[in-house]
Amino acid sequence: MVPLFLRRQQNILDYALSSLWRSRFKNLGIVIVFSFVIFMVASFRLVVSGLDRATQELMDSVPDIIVQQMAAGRQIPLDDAVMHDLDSIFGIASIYPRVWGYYFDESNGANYTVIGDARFDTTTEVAGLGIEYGTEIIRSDNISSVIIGQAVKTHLMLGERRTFSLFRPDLSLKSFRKSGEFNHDTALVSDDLLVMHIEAARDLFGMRPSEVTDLLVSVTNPAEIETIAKKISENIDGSRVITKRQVTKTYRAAFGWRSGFGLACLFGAIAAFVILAWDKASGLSPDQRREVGILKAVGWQTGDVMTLRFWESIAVSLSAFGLGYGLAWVHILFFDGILYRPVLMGWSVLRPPLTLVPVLRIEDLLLIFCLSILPYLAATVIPAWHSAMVRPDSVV
Amino acid sequence: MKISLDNVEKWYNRGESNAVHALSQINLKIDGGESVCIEGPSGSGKSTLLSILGCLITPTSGVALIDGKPLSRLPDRFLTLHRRQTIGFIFQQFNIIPELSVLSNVTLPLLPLGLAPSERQKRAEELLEKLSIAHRKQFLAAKLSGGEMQRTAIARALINDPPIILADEPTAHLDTKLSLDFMEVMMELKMTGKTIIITSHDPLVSGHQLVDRCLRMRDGMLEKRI
Amino acid sequence: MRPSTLFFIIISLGLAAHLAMQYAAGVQMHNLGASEKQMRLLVKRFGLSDVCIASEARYIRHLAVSDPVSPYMDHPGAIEHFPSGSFWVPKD
Repeated sequence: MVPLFLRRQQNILDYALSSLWRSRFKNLGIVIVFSFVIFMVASFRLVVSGLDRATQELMDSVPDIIVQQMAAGRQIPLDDAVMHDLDSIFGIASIYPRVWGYYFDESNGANYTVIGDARFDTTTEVAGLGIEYGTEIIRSDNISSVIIGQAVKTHLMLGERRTFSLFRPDLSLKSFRKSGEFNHDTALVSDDLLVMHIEAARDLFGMRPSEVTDLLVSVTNPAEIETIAKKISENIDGSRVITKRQVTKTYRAAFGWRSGFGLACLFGAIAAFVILAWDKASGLSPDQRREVGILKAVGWQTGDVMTLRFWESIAVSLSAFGLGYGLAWVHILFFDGILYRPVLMGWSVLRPPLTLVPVLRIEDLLLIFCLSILPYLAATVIPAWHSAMVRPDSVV
Repeated sequence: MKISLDNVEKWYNRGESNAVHALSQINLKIDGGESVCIEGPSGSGKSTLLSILGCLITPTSGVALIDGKPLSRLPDRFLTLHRRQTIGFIFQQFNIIPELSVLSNVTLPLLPLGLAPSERQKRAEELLEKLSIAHRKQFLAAKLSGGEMQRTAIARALINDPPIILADEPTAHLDTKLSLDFMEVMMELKMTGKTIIITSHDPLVSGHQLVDRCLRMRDGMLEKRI
Repeated sequence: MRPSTLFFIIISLGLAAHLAMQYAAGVQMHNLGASEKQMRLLVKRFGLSDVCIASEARYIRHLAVSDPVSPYMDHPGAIEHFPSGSFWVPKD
């Protein structure tokens, strides 16, 4: 047996829904606009959650410690001899020097990431790394082997060609021979990469033979990362030591505020919508006043009328929330967030393929709920109290 | 279900420049099962008196008792409950919601009571049968004739089986035949023991055999009994 | 059918659709598993620190290992009172 309270609520809900249906075009319009606002907000949050998930999955494998050199507050190359300064630190498992730079391709405005790897030789393991092929590795003065990302291949317009040239700082050309490509599946981390031997990278950037930009340090006991990082910074003057913990913040910052910036713009839309809802709910048309008067005259109490308005608002906002949030999922899951990719991916020329998998996070759901349904309920139910006070004798 | 008004007064906008003394020194006693007609010209206070009896408004001073309950001291919530349980009000303008069907209009008072749809429909259909309007139950109220609208209003007023029926100028928009039909319906209700109070300046109503007593109002006061 | 019943049915269908999408997301995530495994190996092998979402500037491409002054170093024309360089191309 259904309790009386629930039966009452269901009766009033029936009336609320039929009342909404009577002005269906107007109410459908409200639902559509409201859904759109929720869709925009939810899409943002889902893109961020998808990015978060993607990066968090990967960033567990980042180096324990990265060591860079600073001078006058700016990063400069360091001499690989400083590796010897770290010999005395207990707990370091390995140190690899690296040249890590950026090559700006003026012909197309693309920025490539160049990694000069000291271990890049004939024993480079390609299996499992998603490198399509990696056979001969050439290290000569005339032509160097390189493994490139898919976006690099596209922007260099290589096609079937395997050789290309890049400019050194003195504008002489350095030749490369493509010995491998990172496959499409790894584009999220490899799309803009040119990985070569460290000497080739030094040659490309006009660096001295012993110069490196980073040292990659791995430690034996992960619990000691912070301690070892501190010792490294003490041993190398002016060094900047970045630990794994600091790296794993990754894109949360950029996309946190990018999505926050977008959300801030959307707040305007949400606020405008809520003000509109308040305005709509505050003024009763003569017909609406009359209806409230009739309801009260036939025995509906003020509380019943407010319950009616509450259920009307719930029906509208819940429908809009379901539709907007659902469409946001479709947008991200099946269309890879196509509407927001330009905003979140900036103005770069290189646009890696990105498969975003949205993640259902309670905090996102609550945020969207609090930003949409609660303000709408407040904007419609509070004025409803005023309209529910219509005296029946004034209208009937 | 006795009705008693003792020195009831009703002011609108008292103390302001547009103050209206709608009712003055109203003393009235109506027994259960009695049928009373209140006559008077427009602006004499008939509707105000009926609104007080119908628990739509409370008197400014004086004591109004329905079945021993002092209306003037009841908060709005209890007034509504009292109205729901005790009064069936047939309005002059009918006050039917035009976008709803006849059935939906009639069952409006039952919604907050939590009755199941089948129960509501059963009660409404019984009444509509009695009032010979069952064949129009699914029609939108906007498409009804004047007589059909009034019968819908009557059905709505009776849906809670109230002991007191109030009708404000019920024949104002009806022709003679429909007016007589209306009075027949009221007669049947009187036979079931209901108290009926009708305001009207239609002699067809005041002179009908239904009416036990006819009172005249003028300028907010009850004149002598006719 | 009562309007409220229809409403509950629609809400339930919506919930079911959402659950179906959750399942689809799970399948997609499972399908990504192999490529994510490869990417993890790449990250480990070459010591990568950031994903290649946007490569217009190093403080965006490699946010994790850039210092706060990087935006000012890279392009004098970038109006960086707020990191707007992430949204707009600096003036020539």
